[in-house]
Amino acid sequence: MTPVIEFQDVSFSYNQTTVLENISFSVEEEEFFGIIGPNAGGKSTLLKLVLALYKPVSGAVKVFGNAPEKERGRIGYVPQHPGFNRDFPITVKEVVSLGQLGTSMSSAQAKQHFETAMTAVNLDDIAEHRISTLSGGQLQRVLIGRALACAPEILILDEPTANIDIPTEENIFGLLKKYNEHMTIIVVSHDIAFISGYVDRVACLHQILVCHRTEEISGKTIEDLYGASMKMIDHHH
Amino acid sequence: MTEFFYAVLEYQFLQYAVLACLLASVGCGVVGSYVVIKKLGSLAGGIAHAVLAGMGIAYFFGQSPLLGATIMSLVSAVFIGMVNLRLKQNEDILVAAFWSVGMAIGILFISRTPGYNINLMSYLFGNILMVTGRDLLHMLILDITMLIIVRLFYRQFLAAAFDEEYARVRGVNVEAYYILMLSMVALTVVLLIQIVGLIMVIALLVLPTASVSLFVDSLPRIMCYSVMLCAVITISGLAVSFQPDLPSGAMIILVAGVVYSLSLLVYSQRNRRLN
Repeated sequence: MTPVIEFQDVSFSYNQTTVLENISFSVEEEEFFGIIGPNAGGKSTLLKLVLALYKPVSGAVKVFGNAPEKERGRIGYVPQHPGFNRDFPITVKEVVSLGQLGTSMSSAQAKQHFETAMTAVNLDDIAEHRISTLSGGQLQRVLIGRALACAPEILILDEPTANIDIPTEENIFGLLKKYNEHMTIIVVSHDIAFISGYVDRVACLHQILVCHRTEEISGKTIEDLYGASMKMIDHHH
Repeated sequence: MTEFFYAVLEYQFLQYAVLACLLASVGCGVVGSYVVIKKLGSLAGGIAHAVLAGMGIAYFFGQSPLLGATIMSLVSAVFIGMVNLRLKQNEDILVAAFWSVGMAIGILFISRTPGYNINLMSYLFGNILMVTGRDLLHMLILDITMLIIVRLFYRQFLAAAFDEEYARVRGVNVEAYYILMLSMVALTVVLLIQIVGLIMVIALLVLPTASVSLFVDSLPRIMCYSVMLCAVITISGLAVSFQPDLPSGAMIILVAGVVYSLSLLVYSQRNRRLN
């Protein structure tokens, strides 16, 4: 297996506050990698280091063996909080097509990947709808469509199922599992039990990071991570 | 109103005025769309008023005030943009500073310029009837420049205006496009100064597009309809002001205000029916 993402002794801080401390790990090609941890534990920061939105204070981040800013075109990203105003005059298909910026596709390839992304997340019927008219679930599908439109080799999702109902959540993870056959997927989620049914490995992050095989996650692991008493309930999907 | 159209056929200065309205509408509709969706109205106001400094300095040195306005508008756009990117929380103070300091510099230079040039008043309050063939050429060049820039970087502007963080993820240099967008706003301000004057330029820059964006769903359509509405507003204002010999700039802004008020009324009635 080839590592597609590598962190080597990475530390990051905002002003004087340390958010990540000596993080080292790698994500392999076509791995489904989950990241869990308490709020403000550094999960989103870690993703933003991969996306070259932040630079580490010390250590090195590599994507496909290169500096992250050189490989942006190969990464699709679904943010936790959309950074836009819902009243912005833009249609679903325009939002999805913006996901292709920064790639070097021919127009024929761009059209094909755009259509594939629109169909994959069932956006064809609402392609001309303005985003202000969409429900939370529809908007989340638009953001995933935007991330898929560049035919990424790595797909990064930050809390992709927050604010949506359980059937939609299951549909989204089912779709991700399908894409995982040819794509590396990294997902941040608060829902430990839910993602454990899909991911290969889980990284527990609270300033420092510890990776576990999914089956190794126990109540003790979670207690150590969140620093409070937790009860683990087994359930099946 | 009919007399106005007969007069347009007869007098060259009115033909130039109508052409100026059409040329200004292109910049107004296209760049005004970015001003409205990106909420740059107050920054545009700061740039517009800072332009008086450029005009005053140009007058003092015996140069074309429009050239001074163009240079100063671009300088203020870049400066306001750069400072705003670094001190985002102080945007209103920054705008207020540029607005008043720019005007103060302009007034000081004008006060030291020998004689008093009536043309200056036309730049403050607009006088579309004094537009020359050379002004029209100047406006045409500005329009073409802006249309080329928008055509080349349409998707980057859209991405940066819609979702800055995601645009950065896709490798768009958000800061550079922000400065470029403000520079286009600056050029449009210069374009509109002759129509309505720098005092009222913000209204013409935002009101037609704000009216259109209440009813239209996507940016390209907003731009097209805004250009058309802006042309209707400016020519109507000119026509209404012609017979009673009223200031055309003020009348154009009044028409724009009425159109926007009616649009809001129709929009709220429609929403009430839908709910």
